[in-house]
Amino acid sequence: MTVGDLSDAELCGLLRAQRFTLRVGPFLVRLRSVMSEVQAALALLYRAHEIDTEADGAHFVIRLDHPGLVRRFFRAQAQLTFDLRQPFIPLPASMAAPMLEAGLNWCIGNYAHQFLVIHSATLERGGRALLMPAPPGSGKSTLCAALVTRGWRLLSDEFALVDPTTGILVPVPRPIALKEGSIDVIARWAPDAVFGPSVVNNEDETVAYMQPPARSVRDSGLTCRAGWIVVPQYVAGADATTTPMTRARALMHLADNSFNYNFHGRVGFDRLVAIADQAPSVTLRYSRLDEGVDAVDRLAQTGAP
Amino acid sequence: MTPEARDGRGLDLLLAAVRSPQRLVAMSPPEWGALIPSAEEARLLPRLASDAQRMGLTSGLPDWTRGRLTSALVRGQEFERAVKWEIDRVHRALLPAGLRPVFLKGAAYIAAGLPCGVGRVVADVDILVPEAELPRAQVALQQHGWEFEPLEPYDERYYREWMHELPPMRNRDRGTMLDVHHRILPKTGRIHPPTERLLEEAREVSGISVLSPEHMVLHAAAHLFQDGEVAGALRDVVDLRDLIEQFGQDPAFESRLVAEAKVLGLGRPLFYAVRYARLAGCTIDFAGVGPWKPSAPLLAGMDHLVEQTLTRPDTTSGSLGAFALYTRSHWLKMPVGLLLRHVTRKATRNFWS
Amino acid sequence: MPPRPPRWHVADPSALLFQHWPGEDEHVVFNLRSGDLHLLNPAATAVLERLAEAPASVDDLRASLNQIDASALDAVLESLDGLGLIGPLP
Repeated sequence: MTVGDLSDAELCGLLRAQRFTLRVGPFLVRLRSVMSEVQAALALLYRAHEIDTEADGAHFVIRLDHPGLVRRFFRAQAQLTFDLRQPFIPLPASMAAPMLEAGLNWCIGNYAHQFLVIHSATLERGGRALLMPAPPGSGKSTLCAALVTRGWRLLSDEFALVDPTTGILVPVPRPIALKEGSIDVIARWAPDAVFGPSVVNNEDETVAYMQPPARSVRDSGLTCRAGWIVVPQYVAGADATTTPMTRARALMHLADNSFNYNFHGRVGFDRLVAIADQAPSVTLRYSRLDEGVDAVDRLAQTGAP
Repeated sequence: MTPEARDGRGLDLLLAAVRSPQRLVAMSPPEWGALIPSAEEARLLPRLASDAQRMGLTSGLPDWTRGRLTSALVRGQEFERAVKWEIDRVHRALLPAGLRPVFLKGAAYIAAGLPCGVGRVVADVDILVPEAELPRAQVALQQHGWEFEPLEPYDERYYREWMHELPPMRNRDRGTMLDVHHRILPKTGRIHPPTERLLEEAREVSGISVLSPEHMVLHAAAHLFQDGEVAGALRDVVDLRDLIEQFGQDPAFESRLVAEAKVLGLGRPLFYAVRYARLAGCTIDFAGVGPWKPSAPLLAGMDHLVEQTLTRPDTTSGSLGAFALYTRSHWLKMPVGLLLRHVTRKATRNFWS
Repeated sequence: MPPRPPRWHVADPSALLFQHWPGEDEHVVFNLRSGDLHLLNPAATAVLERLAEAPASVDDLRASLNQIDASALDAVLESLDGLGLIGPLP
């Protein structure tokens, strides 16, 4: 059963009773909320995700509610509780969806060390994974959103999860975060893409989430190995050019973008070496989205850069 | 405090598991669901995860439980590595300057391989040096990348003039915190155990100087029960339980402990430590602390205070600060702004709770 | 009397994991004890590998690694020390 199979009333009831447990890739996420904004965000952005009605617990138990009675009615706010903690300051209720996504990022970044976690968009084609390890602001989410509407399967726009014992990549498909101009760019690129409402965040940026492709969510149990590494560099006005990286530099880049490979000691290091070894890496300078997408597609066809 | 935190069930399960890890064997999924957040909050999850692994429990658990426990185990291993490396770096700065610091608390427990060091969540590293060596220690540390945190002038005076301590130092490269002490209890307190005695009795374990077993127990006791107040949480009681059970295996330990308590003037805190270690399931009792038993009303008051403080959710700033060592070094390695694009992580405790 | 130049050593060679791909200039070393990963140029690699075999003084290193000029060697030693990859032997 998916979120989309629930009626509004059923979804609302499950959320209020803390019996709403979502499967997000390898994680069970139990959510509780009375906020209509949260219900709307889940119904739209997590429509294709499975819910587990029999779950006896969850990796992450999250509550997203008003911080108090006053802030329920007067300049309504949202506050997120994970376990017994409230890692974020309260924010306007309109920011419930970004808060939920940030909360999940928080959980995966801090409480999922059973995996090696790399800050990277991760996609799949032909059974091999494309990694785009890069810090925020590099354009990887825009490129990621464009690629998943052109036949690439989404594993994640935010994280590459590596199983330390096997080295395989584990999907954790979630809504894709887009900012400012990227929202319109992708809306034009993929007119059928479904977006949540645009919200202005507390850094004065406009943020919206794109619903992940249903097929990507449905296939979230299908794992794969790294095939290519592309480090995107958005440069205004630039023609799309790919430049090979040495494997040593690719390894450094993976490590620089990894939260916790070094928590795993020798095993973590060996896994990153294996990824750098098996996946040729390039940097991709681009400005026009279609050229960027074409460059990535060509890479996947030829294999070697 | 969140409504979740007020729910006592997780805490009851935590206390039970702390008293007897065997309790973990029959734990049901809903019980794990209540235990994990409470253990996390009390900085005891990596320790429990280690217990569960040692008892061979993990393979039979639901995937989500196993996932959280494995994550905590990995984190515990990283804390251990980080602390041992920090010790190495402190030695790199101080040994060539002819200074040999005595490591206190968590760093000592981890380096000495003590049970209370297993899966330990460590916030800062604390060292003890003679007062006369403080200026040289400061210079050597500054030459190796440690800096004083920027402080309000009031706070700076507090440390230097009233407490006669160095303010906390932070390493520029790793973001880790170091407290350099020349006394183990604040100057403004009523008891002043002589540092010389502690340094005289310090010994070498695994290449670092640590307090003697008696002084480790007394130091922990003094901090938890200084001036008749309770300044700590469940984890601190567990430490005392572990230390007493470990060192108490030596039949001669009790008399040395009692003798040192007399010398250092820490008899009353020791009495409390022995009494309340029982909360964490300590099976050893030292009759020798009897003379320091307080009056019945005082004892009843302390019993109540301990029950209120130590068996309630750990809402001291330590629980956020406990992750300081972890998160500072961790965040420095992390790509900046991962979560900060959309929300801002609080720097201080939530005033709504 | 001027202080003797220190002898340098790698405290625990088994904690250094080296990685190199044939045909590439740069080496990578992972320090298990610090949890840090470092990209090394050929000079730094040569010095570190030499010290991982056995302690050596600056003079020893100048002699056996004569492809590295003296001031570059000093800079490499200082960097490796600062990163915690090597340390002075007391």
